[in-house]
Parts: sequence; structure tokens; C-alpha cells
Amino acid sequence: MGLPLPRFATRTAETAIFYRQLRKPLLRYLVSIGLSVDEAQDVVQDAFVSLQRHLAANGSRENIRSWLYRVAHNQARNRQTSYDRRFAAPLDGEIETILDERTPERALLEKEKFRELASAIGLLSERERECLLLRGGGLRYREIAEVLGIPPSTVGDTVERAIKKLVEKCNV
Amino acid sequence: MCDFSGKLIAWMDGELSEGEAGTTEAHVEACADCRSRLEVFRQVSDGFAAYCDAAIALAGPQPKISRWMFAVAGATAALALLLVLLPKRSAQTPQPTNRHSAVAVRTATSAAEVRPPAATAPGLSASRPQRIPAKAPEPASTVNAVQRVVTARAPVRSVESAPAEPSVEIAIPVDAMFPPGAVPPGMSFTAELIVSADGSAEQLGLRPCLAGFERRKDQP
Repeated sequence: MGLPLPRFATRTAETAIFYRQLRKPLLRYLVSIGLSVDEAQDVVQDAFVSLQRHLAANGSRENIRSWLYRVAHNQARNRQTSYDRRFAAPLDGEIETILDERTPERALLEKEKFRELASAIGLLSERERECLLLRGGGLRYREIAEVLGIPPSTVGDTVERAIKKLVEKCNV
Repeated sequence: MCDFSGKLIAWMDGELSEGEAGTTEAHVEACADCRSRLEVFRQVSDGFAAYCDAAIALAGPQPKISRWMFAVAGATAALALLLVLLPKRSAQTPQPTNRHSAVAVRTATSAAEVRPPAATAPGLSASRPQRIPAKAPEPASTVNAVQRVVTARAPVRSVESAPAEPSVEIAIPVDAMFPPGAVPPGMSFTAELIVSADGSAEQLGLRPCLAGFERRKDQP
């Protein structure tokens, strides 16, 4: 009776590849939607444990990226207390420090515009912010739709509406 | 406002079908209004990313110790706690003054009471220990990660044949000790603790196990 190690090894290697590719963008997304770094790391860790189980149970290997984001997103939603923190409390006080550090490199937006943008982002709906965040993480509309459980056409409309809202409020 | 203004963002994101993308591209090259609109959309997108960077910078630096380190620390703490608690348990039975003889007596009686068939022919099922939940309190950081199982065995071994059977086994799930993917699924670790008659720890070891493969001592 031989040990079924080759199959274990294959799955482990698969998870390891996804871990290397997706850990950082996932963390970034979770922190952006309001989790603390600690919470985000917990959620990412749990999501990869779930992935390992999913692969071990011969679950579908299609769209692993959106699968992982969806698992992490739902876990983040369960921590509702911290969910809105990031955007509910604008960066007001600390914004100066960040701007002082960042603006030399990022001449893209000077302080006033950045401030306008910050308050405009605060006016976006939760769904609009999620769409923009996932889009910023490089996900396709189809993947964003899978993560959020909405039709892809809705994602397109939401992204467009959100960007136009920001343009309007920022007077760019 | 021209007909293409509604497609610019989807085009920018590469979400249009090939045909639509082609016509939109051709239009953008010709239409200055759409080009400037596109530029604004790009600025806002970049600004949103910059804002998120700022938010992440505010969220603080990455902690240096990851969660599984805490889990290992928790498991170690539980083990240490067990070492402390064990002498109290064995204190319920009279403490032997002479280790060898006292153990020999207890061996004879408890072996007869606990598992008479196992003493002569310890088959796989007979020698499998009964699992009872651990009494040790969970450290807060490992509440979900570590499920501890303590296997209590009757102290049936005489000291002369001692090296074999551990008195206490603590099963530790792999994901409590290693990051996901580091160890093949189905693998777990058992901490073995051999306790001598006076309740002190004699030997401590960590044994890897693979699910579905029991360690056999007596092959037919």
C-alpha cells in the first residue's frame, strides 16, 4: 500500500503558487475595504486554508482568483464592525502627513485635488467602492461579478457610474 | 457628448468585444473630446488607487509574527501547562516510595482491570486509546486553530519495558503550526509525553502522522 503523496504534493504546490500570486493583492483589497492589517491577514490565511480544502476535495479549478476573493470578501463582510471604518472615517487628520510624504513622487494630484477626491470617495456607495477596488486589483468585470454575486453587466454600469461620480465631485 | 462616451471606461478596462474595441479605438483617435475624457477617467482611477495606498499606509506596518507562530506558542504553552498539571492527577493515587516495585504492583492490577486481552495480544483496535477532550484552557490566540485531544492511557507498563508507550498524546492539527501549503494535507503531528511513576515528565517527542495510517507495533 503506497502513500498517496504525489497527489498531496500536487495540491500543495498548486496552493503555494496561488499563495505567492494572490496573497498581497488580497491583503490590499481587504485592508482597503476597512479591515485592520491583522484582521486582513487572518482572513487571507483562512481563505487559503479553504482553498487547500477546496482543491483537496477536487473542487473546480476554474477562476481560482475570483473564488479566493469571494471567500475572503464574504469573511470580511462577516466582520461588519470594521467593514466601513476605512471609508466612513475620512483620512482628514492624517492626510497631511501622507501628502507630504507622497506628493513629490506623485505629482499627479496635488494636495487640494487629493482632498477633494478623498471626500468624493466617501460619497460612493459601498458597492461602487467595492467594484473600483476590485477593478484596481486587476480583476476583470466577470471576476468582480463573481466575487460580489452580481451580473457582469451591473459591474460595468457600477464602475462607470462610480468613476463619473468621482469626476463630477472632483471637478477634474 | 458623442455616442462613444458611454463605452470609454469599458474600453479603457479592455472589457469591450473585439469588434466594439476596434471601432471605439478608431473613434478615440479621431475625437479630441473623448481623448480628454479618457484622460480624466485615468486620472480619477489613479487617484483612487493613490487614496487606497494612503489608507493602507495608515493601517500600519505588517506585523512581523504571523498567526501560526502564535498557534505554535499556544500549543507549547498548553504542553507546558499539562506538565504542570500532571503531578496533581497522579497524586490521587498513593505516591510510591520505591519507584520500581510500586509501579510493578500497579501494573499488575490495572492491566488486569483495564484491558486483559490487550496484555496478551494487543491487537490494533484494542490498543487504540480512548480519546477524551483536554482540560487545558485554550489560549486566546489559538481558539479556532488548535483542537487539542489528550489521550489518556492507563499506566499499565512496567518500568522494565518502559520505553515504548507514551502516557499522554496531544494531537496538533498541522494548520496550527505551519502556514497553509507547507505540509501535505492529511498529515498531523502528535506530541508524545512519557510520564514516569512519580508524575514527572520522562520524555517528550513530536511524531508526524499521516491520516489513515496507524502506527502498528505488532505485525501478524
